[in-house]
Amino acid sequence: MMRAVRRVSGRVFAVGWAVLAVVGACNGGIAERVLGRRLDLRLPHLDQPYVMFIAIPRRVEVHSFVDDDGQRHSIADLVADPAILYARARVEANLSLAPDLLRDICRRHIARGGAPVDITTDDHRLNFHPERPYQSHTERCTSDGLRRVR
Amino acid sequence: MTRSSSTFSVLERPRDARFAALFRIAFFFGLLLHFAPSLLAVDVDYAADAVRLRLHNAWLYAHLSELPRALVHGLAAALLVSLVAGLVGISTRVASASAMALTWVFASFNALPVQTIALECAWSLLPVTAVFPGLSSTWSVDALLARRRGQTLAAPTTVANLGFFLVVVPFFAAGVEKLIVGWMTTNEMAMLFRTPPGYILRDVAFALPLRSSSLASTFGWFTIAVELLAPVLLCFRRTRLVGLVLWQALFVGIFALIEVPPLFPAIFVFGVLLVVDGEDLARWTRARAVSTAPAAPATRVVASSLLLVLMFMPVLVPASGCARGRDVADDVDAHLFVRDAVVPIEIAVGERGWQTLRSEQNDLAAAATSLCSGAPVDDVYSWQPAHARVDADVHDDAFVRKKGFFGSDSAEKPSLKLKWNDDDDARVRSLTLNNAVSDPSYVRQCLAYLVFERAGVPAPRCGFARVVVDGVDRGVYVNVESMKPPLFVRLFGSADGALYEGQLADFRPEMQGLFEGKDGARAQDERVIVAVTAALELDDAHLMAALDDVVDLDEFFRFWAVETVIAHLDGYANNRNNFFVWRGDRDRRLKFLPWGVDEAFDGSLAARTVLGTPLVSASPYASVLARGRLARRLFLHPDGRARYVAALRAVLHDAWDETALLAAVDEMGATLRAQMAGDERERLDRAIDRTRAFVQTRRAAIVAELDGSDVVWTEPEPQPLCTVQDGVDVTVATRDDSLAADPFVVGSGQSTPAATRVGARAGNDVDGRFVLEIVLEGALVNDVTPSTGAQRRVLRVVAPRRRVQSGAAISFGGASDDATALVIDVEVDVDVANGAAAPTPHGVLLHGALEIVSIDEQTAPATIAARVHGDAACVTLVEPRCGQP
Repeated sequence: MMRAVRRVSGRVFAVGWAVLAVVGACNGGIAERVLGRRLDLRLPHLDQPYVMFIAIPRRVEVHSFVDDDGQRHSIADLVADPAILYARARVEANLSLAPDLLRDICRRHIARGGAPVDITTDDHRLNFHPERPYQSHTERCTSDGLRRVR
Repeated sequence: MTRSSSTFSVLERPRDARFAALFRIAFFFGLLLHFAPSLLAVDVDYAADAVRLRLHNAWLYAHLSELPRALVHGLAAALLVSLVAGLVGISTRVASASAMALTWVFASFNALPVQTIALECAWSLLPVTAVFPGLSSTWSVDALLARRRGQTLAAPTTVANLGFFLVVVPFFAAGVEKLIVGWMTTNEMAMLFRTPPGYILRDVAFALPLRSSSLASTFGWFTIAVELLAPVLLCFRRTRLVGLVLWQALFVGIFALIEVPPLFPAIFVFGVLLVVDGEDLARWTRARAVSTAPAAPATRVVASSLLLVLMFMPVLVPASGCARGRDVADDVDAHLFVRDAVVPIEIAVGERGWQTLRSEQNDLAAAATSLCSGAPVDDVYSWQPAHARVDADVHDDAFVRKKGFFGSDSAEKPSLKLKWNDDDDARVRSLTLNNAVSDPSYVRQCLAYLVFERAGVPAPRCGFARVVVDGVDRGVYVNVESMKPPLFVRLFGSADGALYEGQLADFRPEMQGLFEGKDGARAQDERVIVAVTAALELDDAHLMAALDDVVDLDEFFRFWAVETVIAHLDGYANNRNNFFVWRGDRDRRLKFLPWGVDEAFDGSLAARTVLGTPLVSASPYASVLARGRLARRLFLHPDGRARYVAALRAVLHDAWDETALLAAVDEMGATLRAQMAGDERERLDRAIDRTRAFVQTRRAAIVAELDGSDVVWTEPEPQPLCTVQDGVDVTVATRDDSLAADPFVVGSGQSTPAATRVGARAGNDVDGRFVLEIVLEGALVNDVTPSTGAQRRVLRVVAPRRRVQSGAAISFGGASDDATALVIDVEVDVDVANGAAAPTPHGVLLHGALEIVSIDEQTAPATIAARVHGDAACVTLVEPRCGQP
């Protein structure tokens, strides 16, 4: 008896979960096209659309700093716990979505006893030049936080 | 086999235990790589002062840092143990449930966007691996222990089949999405390969010839083809191997070229192997003829469904979506919009065309009547055929017309719109050339758009042009990118959507119809504009959520903050003017675009008048402009205000870089100075100095308010554009061609409300239109009298002369064929018609008409009997004190 109940409830869950997966997969650009908006499906795995960068950003910022030897490094090298196998991409993509993280990276770097460092933000426009930034600015990361220097 | 068993057989079909185990190991190893770095640094990454994002559970976001640190450490350790247990196969179902709960806890406390997107796929799988057994039936500690006990663990059935389904469905949907958003039209793959070193491409990608547009386009097509086809091929045993090869080839390419979280390959590369079973292996390894085995019924259902979606794809995908792999990254028109050069433009329009063009003017009464009727003002300017040379490009089939409302109107140096035909949709085919009469420095517009751009607000490009018309040098113009498809493709990746211009328009029931739809769009049909108006009627508790659905609020806060920082007093936030809203077909939420920014960087704008009326109202604060209803509601809402202040600080930090802005001013100044001489150059220098001073001092003014006492916005909401006040019905008789005569001598009549005296005169104005001027003495409504001492109300009725015939009724509207009736209140001694003084209009007559009762041609000049009736409406455009006692 219990086995049968377990079997039926397992099937109900499986079918329900599969239907949710289809609904969640369609709850991005497809929902926007058909319904005009996305639905709030509540469940954590359906919070965000599955596909990132369906439209590649035309404006891209790349953050770097120069060490004492004059070598330029990705800002990912300032992160104490860099993501494994995608350190630069995680930092840059997160910064593009949440610019405040730059202050946090600076704060943590200083909190670990790191020396003050100048962080350069290169603002690239994809129509401008393949490698030369459209504009750049530099901020000094010290114990007082970030302060623009040029 | 029962019918039920048959239906579910696809879910319960046994799959190869080794592939299930391989997936388990990869999956939990991927999760471990994903989470271990931050769990090992739990005191840093999950500290109370860490910069955090709330994406999931609000309670955990607010309270996790308040929990005892030992508990947080314990939870982190429990998560690590769960992941390791899953990896080695100890109670995998328990480990899965524990991993699901704890990853959600930590992600709720501190979500990083990229981490979260990777986690979404894992969260769809973990409940399945928690509920259904089979992942540990081999290559696991559990299997080892069971073997020692002589037991056999359950084979992977539902866990493998449902897991496979969860892996391929989002993959298939990703292919559909790419088609829907027109991936191939904009060649997003070329964009991806042009992202700079240090962003998301691996270094090896820069060593390959991937920047070739056609190669990138091929990659893009391959990606979409695999995303749509591989899930279908994988469902059939005969095509499974091909599907598997295509799938893995795509992922090898992705991981070789782009830095992505290792959780992705862990899920997708290994997850797809869950569909493989013993028959597949036998078929592939020994080439046994097992292909005749029919697919399970449910497998056929899934495959058929996917094929059905493929068949109906043309319905979902816009025709242009798959047209060709255009490379919009090659912007051949960028040189038209640079700050360090002046584009030479020659226009040949002919004497007659130029005279027509420069003499056309907006009619105040028609504009006010349109606005009061809730319709955008009709464009009165006509296109004149022309030949044009823009830089080196010659356009023989060009057209030119005047542009501008009242503030920038000029007959000597009119602002111009120039357009020409071009088969290439991606090329610039029109220019907006502003005369900059309101900006003697010429630099404000380009500087303003630069600030918007730096703040991440979509904005047109800007540069300079020197315009010669029929051989006559008309001077330097500011060349602003027109709001046309190339701009939308550049800014939004697609031109599919609708554009509305806001010229004295707002999200209020009586003003939402004033949004002027472009290229056939109609504001009254635009659900999103109506929805914004409706959202603004909601109470505070529901306001933000409702607005979030219909407005890109993050973008609007930045747009609004920039308008404030550059003191764009004639923009949306302060004056509900000079802006566009874009509703894309993909993200249907409204985005604001700036326009008409020539009055920015000038705090003295509020002191200027147009038609005797202050152009805009001043803001009592430097740090906020909030007269537009959207801005006002948000500023008066606690969350809205907090987000606005955050956006303002972000703009000051990221976009308002005085050094860079002053360098841009100097660059533009040097460019312009080379084009000017004498007085004009001196005026330019003085004006540029004022703009420089504004840039240098603006931050301090705003920061002082932000850091000081609270700004309290007590400004009343602006009055509606029109206030209907009283009805007027007048019957008069007068002589034609008598506009220079005393109205009380040549005309007479009766009015309701009764006037002490009624006079009238008629004739033609300089444009040949019929004018009937009725003067009512003592017929004013005292509490709306606009100026002390005004004792006469003048009704200046204008109509097309050809429509003035006996029995004609010409209604008051805003169209060119309608009549208009301007209401002017004057003091006794002011002679309106003869221009003895510039009277301040009061408003217009609405909902009525000019009726020509009779025209007696027997007399010379003719005698005209007419009736004028309608509702007098006070118009704030010309009389800002409407509705005030």
